[in-house]
Amino acid sequence: MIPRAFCSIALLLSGLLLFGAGGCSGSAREHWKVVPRANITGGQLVMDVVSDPRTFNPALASETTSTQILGYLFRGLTRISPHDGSVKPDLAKDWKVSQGGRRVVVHLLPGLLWSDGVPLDGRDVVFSFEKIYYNPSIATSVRSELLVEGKPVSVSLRDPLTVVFETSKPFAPLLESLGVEILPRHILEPIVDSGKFNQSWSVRENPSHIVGTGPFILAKYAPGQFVVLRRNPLYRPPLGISPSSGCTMPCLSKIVLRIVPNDTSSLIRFLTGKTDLFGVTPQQMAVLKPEQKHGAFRLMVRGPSLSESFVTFNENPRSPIAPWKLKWFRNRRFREAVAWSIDRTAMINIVLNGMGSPIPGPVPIAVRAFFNDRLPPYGHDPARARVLLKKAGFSYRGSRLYDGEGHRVIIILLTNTESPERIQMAQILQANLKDVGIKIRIVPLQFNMLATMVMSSYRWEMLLFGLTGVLDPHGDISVWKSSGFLHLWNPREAHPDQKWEAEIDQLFDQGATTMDPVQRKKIYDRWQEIAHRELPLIDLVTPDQITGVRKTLGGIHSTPLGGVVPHISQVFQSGVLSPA
Amino acid sequence: MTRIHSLFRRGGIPLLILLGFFLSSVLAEFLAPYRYDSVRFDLSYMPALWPSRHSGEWAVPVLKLKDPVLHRFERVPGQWVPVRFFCHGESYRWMGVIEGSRHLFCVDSPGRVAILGLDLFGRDLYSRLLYGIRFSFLLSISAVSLSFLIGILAGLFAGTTGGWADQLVMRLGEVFMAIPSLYLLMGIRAIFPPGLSATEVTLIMTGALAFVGWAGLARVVRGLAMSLREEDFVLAARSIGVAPFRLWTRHILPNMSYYLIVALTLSIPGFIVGESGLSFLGLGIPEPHPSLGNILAESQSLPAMKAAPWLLLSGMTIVGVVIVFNLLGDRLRDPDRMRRIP
Amino acid sequence: MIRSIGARFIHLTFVMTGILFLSFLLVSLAPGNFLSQMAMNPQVSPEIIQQLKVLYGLDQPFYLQFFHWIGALIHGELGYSFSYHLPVMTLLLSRIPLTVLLTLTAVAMSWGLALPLAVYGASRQKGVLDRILTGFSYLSISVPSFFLALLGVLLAGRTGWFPIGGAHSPGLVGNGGLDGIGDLLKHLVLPAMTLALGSFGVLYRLMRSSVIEVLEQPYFRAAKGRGIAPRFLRFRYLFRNALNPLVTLFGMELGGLLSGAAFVEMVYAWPGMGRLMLHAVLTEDLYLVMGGILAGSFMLLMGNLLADAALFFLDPRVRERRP
Repeated sequence: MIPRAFCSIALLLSGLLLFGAGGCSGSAREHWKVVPRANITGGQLVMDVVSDPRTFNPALASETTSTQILGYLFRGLTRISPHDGSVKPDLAKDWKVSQGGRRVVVHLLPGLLWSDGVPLDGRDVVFSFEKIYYNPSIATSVRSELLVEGKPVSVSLRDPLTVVFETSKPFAPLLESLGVEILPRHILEPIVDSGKFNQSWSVRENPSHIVGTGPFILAKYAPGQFVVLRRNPLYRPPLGISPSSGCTMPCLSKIVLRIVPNDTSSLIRFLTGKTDLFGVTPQQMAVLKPEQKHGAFRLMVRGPSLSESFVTFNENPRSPIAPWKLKWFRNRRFREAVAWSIDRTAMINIVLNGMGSPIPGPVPIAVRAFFNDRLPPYGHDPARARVLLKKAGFSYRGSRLYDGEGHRVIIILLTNTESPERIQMAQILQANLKDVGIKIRIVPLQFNMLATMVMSSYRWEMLLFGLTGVLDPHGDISVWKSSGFLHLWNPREAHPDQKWEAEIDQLFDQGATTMDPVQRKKIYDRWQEIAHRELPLIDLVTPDQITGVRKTLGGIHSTPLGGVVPHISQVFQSGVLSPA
Repeated sequence: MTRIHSLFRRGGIPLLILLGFFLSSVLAEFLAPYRYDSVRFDLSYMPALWPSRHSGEWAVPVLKLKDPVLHRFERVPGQWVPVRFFCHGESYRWMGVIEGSRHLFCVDSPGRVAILGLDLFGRDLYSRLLYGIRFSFLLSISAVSLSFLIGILAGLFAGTTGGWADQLVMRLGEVFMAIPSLYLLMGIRAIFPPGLSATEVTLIMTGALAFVGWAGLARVVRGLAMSLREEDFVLAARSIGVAPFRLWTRHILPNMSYYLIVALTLSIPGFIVGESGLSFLGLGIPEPHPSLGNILAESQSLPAMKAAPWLLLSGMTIVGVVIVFNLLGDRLRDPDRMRRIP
Repeated sequence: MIRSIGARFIHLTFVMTGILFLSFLLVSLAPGNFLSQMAMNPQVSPEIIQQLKVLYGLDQPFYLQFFHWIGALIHGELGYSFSYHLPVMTLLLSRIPLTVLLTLTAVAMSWGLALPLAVYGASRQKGVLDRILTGFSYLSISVPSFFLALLGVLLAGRTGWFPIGGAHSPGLVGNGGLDGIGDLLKHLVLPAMTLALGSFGVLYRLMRSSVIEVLEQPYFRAAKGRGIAPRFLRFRYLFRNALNPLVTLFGMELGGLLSGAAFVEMVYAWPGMGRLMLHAVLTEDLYLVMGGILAGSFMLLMGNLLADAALFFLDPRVRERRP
């Protein structure tokens, strides 16, 4: 007889292995305490990032790791306040808006130096815009943010420290766009002229060649392992940022970013004291919450995040979907019925582990300056949904829903496989809509395939997707204007085909050219009302923003828009971990 | 009859266990108290809850969510729901054909019996495992047999014919092995429209996996066949004019069965586990249909392990299946037993 | 022999061209391209995407792209990666050494342990050691390597014996001294063990069954009966004859040296090639993917060639090609 006894041993072993994993998961063996440091200057900050930086060239960077790292190395003329989203000076000293918003005169801070010691002046600004961002032979995706109605802004030098920006029409978000990174002319001009800019400042570049104005400079990059940033001694902080406790800014002498592509490994690294800051997903709260004390960290919950998720229907008459389905989707009552059938509490409890909020409309709750707080989110009311569906001409046979022409209501829902949360939301949606008689078939697709189907072949019926919210509603123009390329439900319309779409088009045009903030708020409030009533996008839920912060760090404050680090140059290391 | 009898004698206990697995998954509709897609959003990650005696009958207490972050539940005071046996519960179509609603045991809402605990959507793990074994077995056994069939035929052809045939088959195989299977599978997936039913996906996947996976086996079989074809007994058979196909089945295959059987018993768990990775391509068994692989995949993160360690039971089931298959393989290939078969 | 190897090299060029053409076709036919990720970003307009497309040459028909790439390949160029703006060759060369270190260590561990243990286990079937190893290999077969890696990270986290992530500590990169090597080894242990444990089971089971088969062959019994020295018997008769299927497998294992460890590299944050390629495939970084396929298929073809040659030398039956 073969090892009967030994299969049981194997089973037992596997049980130990598997359950051991479940049982001991998370709990770090070491208990930490924080010992204050005598001298707070010269500390270091260790974080994990999910992937390698792809480039050290701010004009070419397009994914998050590169932009995060480059944010420490470069600065723009303006920056966005993490507290209220307002525009603050960065390299600029101040600015003056004139001619009804068509001209902005920016004065630079005097005495600014590049990290190699060369002085920075207005010529660098003009160079960055004209020779780099507006240069069609340079592969930069930043350009679209810097175009006003498709045309570049004219940039000219008045004197070495004054730059004039002029547009043909007033453009409210212009100051925000001036936050784009300013690049050193004395280094990059010969490279641009020789046509090699698209390959310059790659990740293999000698770190000392990358010259910026940020609080840190690149010290070392080991591919696949880490990026080390060193303090920039020539750094000059922007106006309004003062050192938190008497150190000269930047207070840290070093930032170490370890590249760890797996979130569980990253979580364990934070739990065991290897990293200082950690972006926590709601699911990870169950693991982290009980360990706060022993791990010497705190979890800062900062309210709803900027990211949104929604479902939308294909309302495009040019799309190749069945005509009767198009009729359902274009019916406002049908969309409203769907909005009322969704159990957002279940989505929050299950997908977001109880840490999130329902979204009422297209402006993230965190963007207080524009959020319209008079619009209630749709609740979970299947009975009301059924009434609405009957009013809209649908009828029930048993528990199944049929339209007026006798077609059973079956819809294919697309979402992308890269996001497990979306697939989970889709499953909840499926069960919710089953309750009102609508059958949903979920088709998870890879992002690229999804994008092709939604954006070019229009061969889709219902989509569960998300976009990162923007601080200024104008950033959503490509989604909401009927001619926009991301006007998902009916992209690139020649003319707005519904009245409310025409009204939204008008509101966005007004919003872009109105400079008075109170007036702008009113315009965008009206837009949110229409969106809330017409429901081209049915908003779902957004997770809470949570950050784990080691108690050794100082200069940390919770902000609604900018995480827990209001300004990186103020962060300092107040203590070190030692085993308790 | 005697053949079946001898199969059982050869298969012994492992075969019986395997049949037990089969039988229980075939009867999943009846044995499981709930359907595989029966959700309870309010009871996400509820731990196991067994019936107990309450005022003279078997019953389960009603629970409600207390803390969604740490998944804590509390009893609703005074509310118990009795367990009924051989009862009418959620309706189903057995094997997709026969309608019914009879279950071994059921508990009416708002009560929820959980033999092994519930998953993220509040679906019963015990019920899902029963159905999952069915889907996983179906898929892995059919995919493995198809890819073995192609691989063995190609390998035998290449190994026994030699020369140009060998070159052709092996080089073709190399092309298949060298192109990342991800792209091959994506290519296959792109041919079919999205929005296929679970059965259709399963069928396509069987074909796709066989298409991608035959080459490795073909290489090994070919190596073995090249060695065997020079054996005296093959030469003897050939010289008396045995037809090539008979030569393969009667003389060459039995002599490499020691490898094939072990490889077969090793591949099946490989497919069971690997299947879940394919759902990334929209090729796996699609949710909400359960498979051992995708239940295990759900548990593979630290938060899930912490919140619902019972999901790892799918891993234990896979280990069990592997052991049974391997024991069966050992018994089938054991030459002492082989010789007793007529 | 020499002629056949020469012929094999000619075939190799054909197969390679076939592989490259088909992969290029598949990658190009796959929906979307490198720029598709920007397609649903409200901040990037389609006009900019079109401009980038022209800059990257993605607007040309795929056969033209392919011929350009092959043309450059003949001159030893592999093209540029879209996301890194770097020559593909540079990127590959920067990752290959550490990946090969990891996978070779793992292969050495698993093969070095599994084969001798399998011979031992098969010759004392159902002995204590055989039973333990059999039970162990069941586990190794059925626990996915991703899961094993996760357990490894947990272990490292709980005990603090091993560092988590990377191949070096930040201060010790490029340190060729004892400290540097020690640091590298410390980082290497867990990922290599994870990989090795994952393939141990399959190897043990296959080798064991092979050896048992040989043990029961008449020629082996005869040799044993003649009283040949056990050492000689074990190597000359047992090992060599049992090795046939394993040799072919080993050839294929060589093919996986570059890309076979992607998931383990992800979990342990090992800076290897598998991770680079996984990202490249997911972002459709065309020339980087093609570079990876080129390197991978070269290894595979070489591995197969070596395996065939080894089979030829090890197994006399394969060598005698009677008509």
